[in-house]
Amino acid sequence: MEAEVIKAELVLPTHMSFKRVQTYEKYPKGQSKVRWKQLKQIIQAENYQNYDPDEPNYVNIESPPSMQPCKRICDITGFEAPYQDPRTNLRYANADVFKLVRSLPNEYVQRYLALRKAAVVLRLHVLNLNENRLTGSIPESLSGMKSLEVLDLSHNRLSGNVPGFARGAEFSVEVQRGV
Amino acid sequence: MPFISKIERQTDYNRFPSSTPIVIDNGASYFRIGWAGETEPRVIFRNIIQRPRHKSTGETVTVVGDHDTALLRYFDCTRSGPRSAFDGNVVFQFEIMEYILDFAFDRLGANGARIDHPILITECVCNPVQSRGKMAELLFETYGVPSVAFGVDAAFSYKYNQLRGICDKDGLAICPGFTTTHVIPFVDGEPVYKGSSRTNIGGYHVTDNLKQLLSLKYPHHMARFTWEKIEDLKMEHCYIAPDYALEARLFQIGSKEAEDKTRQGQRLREMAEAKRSSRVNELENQLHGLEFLLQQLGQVQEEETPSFLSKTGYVSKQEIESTLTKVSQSLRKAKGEAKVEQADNEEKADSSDKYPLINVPDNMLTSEQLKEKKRQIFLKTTTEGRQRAKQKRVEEELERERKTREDEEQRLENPELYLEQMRTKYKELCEKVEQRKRLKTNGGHANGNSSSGGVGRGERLNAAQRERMRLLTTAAFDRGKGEDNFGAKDEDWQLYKLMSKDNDDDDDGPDEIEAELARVCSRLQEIDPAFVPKPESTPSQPTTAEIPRVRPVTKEDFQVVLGVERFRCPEILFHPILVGIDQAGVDEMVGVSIRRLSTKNEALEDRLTSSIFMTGGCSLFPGINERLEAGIRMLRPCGSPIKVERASDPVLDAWRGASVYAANLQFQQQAFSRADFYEKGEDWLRQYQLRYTL
Repeated sequence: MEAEVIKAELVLPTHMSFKRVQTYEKYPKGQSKVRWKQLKQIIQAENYQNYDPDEPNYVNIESPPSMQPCKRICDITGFEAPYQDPRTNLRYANADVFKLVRSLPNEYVQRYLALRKAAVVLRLHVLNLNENRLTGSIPESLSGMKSLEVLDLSHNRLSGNVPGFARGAEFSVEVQRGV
Repeated sequence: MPFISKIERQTDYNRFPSSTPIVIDNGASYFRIGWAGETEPRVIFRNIIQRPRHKSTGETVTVVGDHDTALLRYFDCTRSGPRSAFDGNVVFQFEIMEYILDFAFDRLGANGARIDHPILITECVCNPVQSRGKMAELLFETYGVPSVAFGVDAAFSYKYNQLRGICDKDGLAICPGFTTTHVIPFVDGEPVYKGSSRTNIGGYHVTDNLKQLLSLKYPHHMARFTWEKIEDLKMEHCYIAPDYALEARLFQIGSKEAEDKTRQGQRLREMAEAKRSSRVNELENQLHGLEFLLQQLGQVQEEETPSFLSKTGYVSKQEIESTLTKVSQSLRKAKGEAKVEQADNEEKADSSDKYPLINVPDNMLTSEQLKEKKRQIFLKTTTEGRQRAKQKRVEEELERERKTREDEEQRLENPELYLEQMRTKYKELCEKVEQRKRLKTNGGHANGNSSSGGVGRGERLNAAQRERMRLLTTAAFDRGKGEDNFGAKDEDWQLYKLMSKDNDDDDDGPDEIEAELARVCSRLQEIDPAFVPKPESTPSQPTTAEIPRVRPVTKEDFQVVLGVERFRCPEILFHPILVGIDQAGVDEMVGVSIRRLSTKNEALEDRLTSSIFMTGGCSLFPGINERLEAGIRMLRPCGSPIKVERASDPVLDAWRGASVYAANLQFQQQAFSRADFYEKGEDWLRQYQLRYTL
């Protein structure tokens, strides 16, 4: 280790006198093999639905969607933007900006759209999950996949409600008996 | 003003008795730790770690907080970005949390076998019990802490300011933080979480938005926009507009006020300058050192040379000399001087000893040596050819420079005349180009109404193009009878060469004129303020304007201009929909919070809104008070009292409040011990809430 690095005490020492169990004993060989649960998984595991909905918990104190009219500003300049380009879905303020919008390469278009989380992600058309012994309820987020055309969840052990799919999706419902 | 980290190791750890609690404000942006009862935390650092690999030894080490980037060059940081223990505002990565606590306790001066002090640590509102449990387990098991208490940072800040009279015992606390924003109503001095609300937007999103916008606006600077620099820019220049639409319109019409508000990022340029001058200094030092070494070597006796050399680390005298030349070269390059002479000298010196075999006649060499000789001849001719090309280029440069100098002189003598001459030249050139274009398409205009079958035939009046057309038709249609045996003979394919060559010849001529035109045009643009270049509609210029034109690099290339971004980025606190997060903004959250509280008591609601308190890092944006007040007035019935106050120190007040709380004698009853934790189980931990009024 170089002298100046040691002098600056840049690196965390591996042995601490005030600890009962040292880090290298707990997490051998650098990267721990323990997979920590992400926030989404933690929330799911909390099972807040089993508790009183009036009691405040991490999920029910979240803010509802905004009631105010959606503010539309130009993606590129930041001025007010009453117009939207049908081809790329970028918002623009006036004709000059429109020219700029039309001249942008695709990479930039996607990055501007990503600022408002409107970038086009890979489109899934067919999702076939039949005969997989899946349990639980069908997640609501599946209805968010706008390009999904065929969703096959038959021959599983799903329960609960079917989430609402937009745009008149066609689906056949198979009812499972028993579990 | 960027926040400063304080990471000096404290030396008075042993002065504090075991009953003195340690107070930790575990925030998503900064980690603050200190002793209860004091007014300032002892240790502050950014709540991130990095795990780079040391370049020489290969071991993976942990670096906590922000550190001097110069020292990090010994480490390979490509695979390890900064990592945080937080996901949103909840701690989930306890390995990282452990490293951070290690560092914090170490810098606080901890020694002994365990941390023998009660700990008060902050958490988020309604922290999931799993996160809480793992944190308690970490503190009890690994650090041996006797008792632990959890509290909410916004609540501590509120209580601290309540003591100072900034807010009442009934009020609303608004806490725009790093990753989330909370609104918590306080009734009788205690937070009512039932009425609280949280939006997942914070300072992190504002900085990220600014970073993306600037990277898109200045793609060539993209590598220089690091997170820390953008945070600096945000803290220094961003503000919240009282009305976004009005401000945007100011900028759109380009009024004088807008120009006043535009800031230019001088700092980037200054930083580049500083880096360059430090590199120059470094190189000069190295150069002096090497020269001194050579001097010493000259004085040392023959026999002692090897030992002397081994001490310095260089193998031989040549090595020292070669490093010396290299360093002086890079120094010169850093200073911006040309090193053309260097290259020339090298080449001349080499040519004599590189090609020894060339002058030896063939019959004296073996077959091996013959091959070697051929190779050397080849090398020699190519290098000579390169030198000749370089020579020609240098001469052309000189010629061009001479011409421009003459031009300049002419201009300086008589600017008016020069300008006139330029303008007439430009007009002539334009006309010539137009004429040529017209010639090309003239036939088409004349027989514009002829049958569509003759498409293009009328346009090709040019002799060369007529010849080409003839070739095409003969090649295509001549072999009517029998089989098509075009291509059976090799010479047939030469047809295409002829055709394409004919086309090329045509375009060579105008290029010169167009180049001249471009040159005159640019010259006029430089010197004539009233000059507007005529729009060129030549097919060579594509309609998309992204081809980078070669032009001299100007001062503007190194500036970063912040205009609309100054208030566009913090606007997302009020309208998270602008970054795609469909939740209520800060002003709307107040309405949501009051609604959730669902007291029918109007007097209480009035008391709440007349004591609105702001804390948290993001509340430091100028203009947020007025904006918030205006927003809340829109939600409340007409005439209700609204008063918005900011905490005396939004950043540190949470820690200070916690410190005051922990210094209270009743604090021990609010904390729970290890025995409590293991006996009472998870349900009890879920219900555990601190009582803030002691």
